[in-house]
Amino acid sequence: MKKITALFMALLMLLSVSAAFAAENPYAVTEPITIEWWHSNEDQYTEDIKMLVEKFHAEYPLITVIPQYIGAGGTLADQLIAAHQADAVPAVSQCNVGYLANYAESGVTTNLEPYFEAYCINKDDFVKGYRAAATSAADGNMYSFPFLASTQVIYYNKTIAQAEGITMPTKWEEMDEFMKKATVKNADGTTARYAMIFGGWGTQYFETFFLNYGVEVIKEDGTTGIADPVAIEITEKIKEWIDNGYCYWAYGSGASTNMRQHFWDQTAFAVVHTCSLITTYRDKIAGAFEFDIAGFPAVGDKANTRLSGNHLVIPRKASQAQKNAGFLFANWVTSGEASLYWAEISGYMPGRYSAMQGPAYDALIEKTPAYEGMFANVDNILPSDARTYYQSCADEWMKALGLIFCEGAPVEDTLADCAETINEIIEDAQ
Amino acid sequence: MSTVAIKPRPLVMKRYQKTLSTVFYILGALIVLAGVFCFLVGDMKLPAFADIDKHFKTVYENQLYSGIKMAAFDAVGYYAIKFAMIVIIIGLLLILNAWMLTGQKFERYRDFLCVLPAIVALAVFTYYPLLDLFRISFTNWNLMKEEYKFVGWKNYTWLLDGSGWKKLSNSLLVTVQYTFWEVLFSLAGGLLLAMLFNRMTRYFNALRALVFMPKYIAVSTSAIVFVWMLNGDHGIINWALSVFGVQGPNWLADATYALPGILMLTFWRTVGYAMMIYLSAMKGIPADYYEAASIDGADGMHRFRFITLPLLAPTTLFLVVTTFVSSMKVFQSVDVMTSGGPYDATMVMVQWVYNLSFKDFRVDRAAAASVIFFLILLLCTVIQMRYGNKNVNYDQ
Repeated sequence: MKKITALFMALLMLLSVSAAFAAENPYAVTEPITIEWWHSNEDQYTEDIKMLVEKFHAEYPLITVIPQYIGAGGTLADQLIAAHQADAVPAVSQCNVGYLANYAESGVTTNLEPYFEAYCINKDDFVKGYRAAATSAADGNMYSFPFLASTQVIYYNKTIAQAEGITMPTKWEEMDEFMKKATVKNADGTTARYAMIFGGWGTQYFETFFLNYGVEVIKEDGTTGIADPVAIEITEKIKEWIDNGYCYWAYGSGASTNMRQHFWDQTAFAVVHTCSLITTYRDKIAGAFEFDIAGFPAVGDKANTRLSGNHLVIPRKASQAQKNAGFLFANWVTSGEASLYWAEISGYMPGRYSAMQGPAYDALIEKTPAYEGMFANVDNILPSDARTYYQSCADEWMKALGLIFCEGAPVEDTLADCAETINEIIEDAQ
Repeated sequence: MSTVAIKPRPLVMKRYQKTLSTVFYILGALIVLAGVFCFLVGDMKLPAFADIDKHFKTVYENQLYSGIKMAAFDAVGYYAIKFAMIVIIIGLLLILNAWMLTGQKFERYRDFLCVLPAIVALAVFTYYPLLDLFRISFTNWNLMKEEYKFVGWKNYTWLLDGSGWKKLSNSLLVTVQYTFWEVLFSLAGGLLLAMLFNRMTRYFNALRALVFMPKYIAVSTSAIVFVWMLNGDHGIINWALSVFGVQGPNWLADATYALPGILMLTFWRTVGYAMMIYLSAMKGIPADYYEAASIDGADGMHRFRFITLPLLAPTTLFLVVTTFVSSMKVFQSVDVMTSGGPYDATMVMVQWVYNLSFKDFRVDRAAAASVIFFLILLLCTVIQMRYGNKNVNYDQ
């Protein structure tokens, strides 16, 4: 009888604590609710998403999440903006990091600070660079949860490296020697195996080579630095490697596919690509050779890379009840076990330091050792420039570099023309 | 048997024609005035009406965020302000209706009523978006921002005298190049194939169907196949070229070859259609002309030059006008194959407008570019029709 009374009392206390919490927390979910989660994770993740949503529902029985695949990152961004204009937004949406600053500044997304406070969530647990990307420069508040974060890494053929004694460059100054050593030429002088292929179809794949040297796409004085002497010097160096047949600049339609194929066919020793494709590389290589991941070669003490991937946002135009439920789901799916699960199946990195320790993390590293190097550099990942017109400027630069490296355009003149265009964009935006 | 003429009974409505017309005039005028007022409140944001605008927005936001339902009056007010131009159009249609009721014979008004649903549909779904496009082009509407205001000619200045000019001129040039080659290839190819199949026996029907078939395949689907076929490293086209010892280019990643790459898909898709149209026109040319010409000693080339070609002129004009307009508006194939790249070498006009709207979210600039493009297309079509009508012989 005493036991039953004790159990009853404990239950009563639990209920009263929950009730008190609900009463104090204005964002608590107190009634059953169904919310939509818009995402851009393709077919291969359908079963994983289903499993995660079911797990969440088991922990939060009041909330039913309906995951909706909307399309790739760009399509999802278009749809979210259309939904914002039509006042028909989901409770939670995935969002490419490139749009975060614009969304926060324009009032598309919800300021999450009051929620963090209400749920006592430690913001210092978020990885430094990811947190910076989620924070609005205008008011210093966080507007998103880091979700499927990725960055650029160098995939290299470990089997060849061991057989031929090639070491990956850790400093930019070592690149010359590396390029020569890792390249294999045919008798007629053509290239049989490239030392490295640079991803030239996305600014994130090359800009940090320049940024680590101090090149700024948009300088403090409101002009661009892409035609400054140091930028010209780096561009000329890469061009020299390309002209010598050591590497090539993957640009235009099919660039990513061709680059990967070269690596799988072992006609490229190393490729610069996103860490989020690690599982694809692992599956495609299928044991034909061993591969590993290296960080970017440092310039002095700088070995920064750019943050890519996605965050989760809660649209501002969702109803309060939807926001409350959306916050709980976004918090759950981006933390602990769920974020490590994502890392394992996709190669995207967890967004919190707390996820990168403990037995589950150790098990992941044991399964795929390449992750260790990737996670070790997590504090070198920086968010992109948050200015709304930055991407337009960077895209112009990308086109100019493509013209130089793929079409043989002269370095100085092309960069000078491009700088003029970028300066016009900056002026126009201000 | 004698027939009795039945005199139609006058409709009740006819008796009240004047009264009804007056009611419609008053109602229409009131709605137009209300629409103009809403336009001043919502779009022009006149400070004098700021409180009204704020009130309707607040009640709407209360419904959106907290679920407090709007009263019917508030709902009408909110949506009338949001869609002021549609309110004006509805008012104008009512005035038109009133004018038809009094200014025309009743029978003509009855005819007008029959087409009224179609006029309403056209007004709302064709002319309203067009008018709205003009309106947006004078605002600073960024798709991500809630508020926008009228900025006069600013977007047009950016396009024609600012940093937008480089992009606009490049896009127009690429679009014209694309259109020129599409019109030329599809018409010349269609004509040649039509001549070939016109002579062939019924066994060639299947082959004719094969040539026409690509028209039925979705552009995006065939574009994806062509992306693979044109892949520089692994594409079948470069493989075929390599058999003959030719090193093919990286088609879609090379500024020189990207547009020809897209044109390959276009030619493959459209040549069958042009062939079918030409073929049906050729079947309509009387055989007597050819017989008479043969008796007069005309050879095949002369018969083609002086009989076939002139008598196909109306068909050619039709194909030129329709192909011209459709190819100027090309989008899907470009979007799938190159997204306008590399280096804007395939940045056709519609792709650029799309990028402005959905990548930069600058709907205002996209609207201004669309207006300019619309005017160019209109001008070109008028010139084509005028020139064509003067030079095309419709007599057989």
